[in-house]
Amino acid sequence: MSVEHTDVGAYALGLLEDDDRRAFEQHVTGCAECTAELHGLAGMRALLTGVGPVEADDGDLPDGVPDLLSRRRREDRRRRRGTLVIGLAAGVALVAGGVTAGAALVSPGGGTHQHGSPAADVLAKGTRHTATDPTTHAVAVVATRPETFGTEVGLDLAGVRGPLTCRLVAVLRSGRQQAVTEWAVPPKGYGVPGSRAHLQVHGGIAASPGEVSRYDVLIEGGGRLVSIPV
Amino acid sequence: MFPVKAADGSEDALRQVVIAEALNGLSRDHREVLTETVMRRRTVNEAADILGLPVSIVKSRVYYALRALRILLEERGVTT
Ligand SMILES: [Zn+2]
Repeated sequence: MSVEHTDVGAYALGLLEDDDRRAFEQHVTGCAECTAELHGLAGMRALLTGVGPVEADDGDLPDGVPDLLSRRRREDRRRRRGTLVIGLAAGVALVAGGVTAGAALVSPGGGTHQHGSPAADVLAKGTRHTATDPTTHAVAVVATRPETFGTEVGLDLAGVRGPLTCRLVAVLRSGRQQAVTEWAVPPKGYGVPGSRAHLQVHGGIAASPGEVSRYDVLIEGGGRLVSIPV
Repeated sequence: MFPVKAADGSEDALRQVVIAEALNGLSRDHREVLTETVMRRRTVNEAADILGLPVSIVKSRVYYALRALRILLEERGVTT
C-alpha cells in the first residue's frame, strides 16, 4: 500500500478503509501540502453528506423547490455556454463563508517535480510526448503507461493563465474520445511569470496506449489549449 | 455548517438543487466517482470493485472531482 498526496480527497470525505486511513494520517502529519488541502476540503464532507445520487441530466428537482428556481436553473444552463462564471438566481440569498477554493497540487517552489504524486510518477517513468501550441503558448508533456485497465496518464502543463476549467481527453484512432481528467486553472496560472509552478494532473482511460492518436487539453466553454500527438 | 441559506427558509431543498446543479456540471467520470463513493456511502475500495478500476485511480479521481466540484460550487456562490 502506498500513500499519495491525492488521497487527501478520499480522506477528507471519509472514504478510506482503515489501513489506508491510518497510513494517510501518518503521512499528513509530515506533509504541509496535504495539511493545507485538508483545510480547504473540510467543508466538502459536510456539503456532500446526505446528498443522494444525482441524475446525470435534467433530473427531477426535489419537492418543494419553487418553480421560479427551476426555470432560472434552465436559463443558467443555457447562459453558461461561453461563460465560466455565473451567479445564482436572484431572490435567493447566499451567505458565503469560510475558506475559498483554489489550492492546487503544485510544487510551491516551481519546477515540474512533485515527489510521490501519481502524476509525477507517470511523468518520470512513462512514455513522454511533448507539444507547444503556437497560439495559446501552452506547453504540455503527456506521459503514459500501460495498465491492466488500459492506460495511466500524467500531464504536466505550463504557460497557462486562468481562470479556466480544462479537460484532458484521449482521442482514439477510431475517432472516439475518452475523458482522462478535469481541473481548474486559477487566475494566476501555471508555469508563467509570477507563478512558476507547473500543473500536474493524473488519470486513466480504458483504452490501451496504442489505441490513442492524440491527447487534447480542452477548455470548458469551447476551444483547445494544446494538442499532443502520440 | 453549510453556508447556503434561502430567503424563504427552504434550505435543504435549495442545497439539493445547488449541489445537483454543480454535480451535473462535472464530467461523467467525476460525477460517477462521487456517486459511487460518498453518495452511496461506499469506501473507495468498494467503489473500485463496482467500477472495475484500481483503487489508486478511484482515489485520484475523487480528488480531482472534488477540486472541480468546488469550482462549480463557487460559481454558484457557495464557498466551502
Ligand atoms: Zn501529502
